[in-house]
Amino acid sequence: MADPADLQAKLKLLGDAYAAQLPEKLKQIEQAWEQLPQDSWDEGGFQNLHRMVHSLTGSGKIFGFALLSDVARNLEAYLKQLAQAKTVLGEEQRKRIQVLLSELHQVAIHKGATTGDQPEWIAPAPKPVGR
Amino acid sequence: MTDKLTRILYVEDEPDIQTVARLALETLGGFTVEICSSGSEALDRAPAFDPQLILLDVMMPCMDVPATLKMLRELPQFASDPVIFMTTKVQPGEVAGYKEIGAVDVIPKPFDPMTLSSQVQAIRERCHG
Repeated sequence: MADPADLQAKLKLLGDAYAAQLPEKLKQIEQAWEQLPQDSWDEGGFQNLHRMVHSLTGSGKIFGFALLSDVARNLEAYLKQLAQAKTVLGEEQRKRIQVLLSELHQVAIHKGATTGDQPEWIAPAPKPVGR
Repeated sequence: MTDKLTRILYVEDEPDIQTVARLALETLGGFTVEICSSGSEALDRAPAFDPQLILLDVMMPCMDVPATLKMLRELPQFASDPVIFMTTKVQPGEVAGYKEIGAVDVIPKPFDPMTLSSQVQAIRERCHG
């Protein structure tokens, strides 16, 4: 059985990697949204967008991006509602999605896309000795 | 005497969570972990892997959890394997509902990787206690 500190070190690396990938994930979500046609219902495209947002909902909190996860959950819930209707999106619906996407970007920037908040289970970095 | 827990099947669709859970369960718990991204994949791979315990994410898109659980239970070797649900929805009423459909317990998400192994072990011991 490994040393817990060893696991914490590995988890921190995973957390850092997640934070570093976050801007690209957000960019892909934005692109998926922009590629959806405005005058027809694209089931596959919409499901793809929903899946990407669902991914942030699930993974955000575990890597310290709790607010990101919460905003993603709101967007995911709205997308799920629209997916059930399967109709061309109206102006208000498109605006609502855009607002939620903007919120997603805002919380990611606020938390620092390259650092995030450390989840509780990651031990703080040891202080340098002798300073 | 209950045999030692060594093999866990984890059903979770999110790759980042899969990675953290595998790391936590294998590194601290010493378990052998098989990860499936969907209920149908779990039904395909469970017989060969022969898990002693199943961790099941409740909120996967396109997966009917009660139906998946029912189909797993219909496989003779899994009729009595403990199944633990993993979910963000952990209000008492929700937990009671999960237990009614066959979960032995619930681990809240996000889980703590540092304690996931001990939580799983404790639940299994309570089941066999």
